[in-house]
Amino acid sequence: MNACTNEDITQLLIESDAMAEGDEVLVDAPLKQMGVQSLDKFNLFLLVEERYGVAIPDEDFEKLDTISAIASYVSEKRTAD
Amino acid sequence: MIGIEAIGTHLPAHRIDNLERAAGFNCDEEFVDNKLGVREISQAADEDDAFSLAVNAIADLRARTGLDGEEIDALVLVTQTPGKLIPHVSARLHGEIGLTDRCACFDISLGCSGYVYALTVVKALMQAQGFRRGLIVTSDPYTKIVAPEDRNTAMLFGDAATATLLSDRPVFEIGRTTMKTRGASHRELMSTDSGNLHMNGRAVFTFCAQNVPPDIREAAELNGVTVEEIDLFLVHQGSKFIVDTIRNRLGLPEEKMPFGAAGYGNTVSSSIPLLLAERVDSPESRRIMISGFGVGLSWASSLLTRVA
Repeated sequence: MNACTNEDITQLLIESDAMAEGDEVLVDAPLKQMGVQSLDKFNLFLLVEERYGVAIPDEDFEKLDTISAIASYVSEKRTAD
Repeated sequence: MIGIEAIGTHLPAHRIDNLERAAGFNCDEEFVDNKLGVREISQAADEDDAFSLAVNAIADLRARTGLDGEEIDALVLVTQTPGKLIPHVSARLHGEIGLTDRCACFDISLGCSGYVYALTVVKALMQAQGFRRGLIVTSDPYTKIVAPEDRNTAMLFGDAATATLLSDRPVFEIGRTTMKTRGASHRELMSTDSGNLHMNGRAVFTFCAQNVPPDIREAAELNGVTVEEIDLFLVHQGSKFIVDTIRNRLGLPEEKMPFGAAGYGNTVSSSIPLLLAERVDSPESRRIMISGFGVGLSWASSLLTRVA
């Protein structure tokens, strides 16, 4: 099963217009620090769920707030499934 | 053929500055303009309710059309904030505007899908009964059930009412409609024990993004057209972010699916007729897809085709 990488999550942020190509990527910083708003995060997680076939409950949604944390979470979920 | 002949509207005069309200939630101008899309929220006066807003919308329709109350065969009101529960608001309206005893009159309890549902229900009723003129009124002073300290709802919902005249002399024919419900998810958007509105923003966003674009495609197919053959898409104005997301998922340019609620907010079942009213006399839009979605969770899409 393919892992989900920091680059994959970054690509989804660009695809959802929450970030632009060339923007500084801070994989361990809170998403808001890169200008990713709360509604952008809804869209990011929708794309993650659709692309990786994982369900992310609201309680985990609140906790996952960096690119690296999201990528690790998705990889672990996919391995567990 | 029964279809839409004219639309009257009413927006209360008072506005809440959403930038000021957003500052209290630590939200900036970019978020208000580009994500919510709502600069100002229309707010009914303390003494106003669904009934009084509806009376004003009907007055606007009468001013536009010279409508005679004796000609109305049916009056249907869409609201989820009726104020007094008994009697139904449409009965009070019936008395207020002087309709005849022969006029059928009832309320429909639906939120943001309500206008599309009501068009389909009232058109079917009129055709079955041989009625010539019917009124669909939408009226929801939602700001009365929104807690000002609730970040998820306080920067979105505004108050409005509309009155649509359906008749046998239509401007728009009403096509076949998709009408859907996912009751298992009703808790994502509901009133709480305190009477205030609760919205799980993420759940509602995901529901809209995943279900509305395919529903619009289905409604197009149901009416024998492709998405590309439709001139304009007037969808419920939940927020700019939701409208942008639906539009992007359908691959449409911005001008085909506009966001037009910057000056008043999400007005629930009035959002589609408010936009449609501006276009009744604009012949450039021949085919208009309308789509409502929200409380229920409930969603519906239909195609309007200009015939006059």
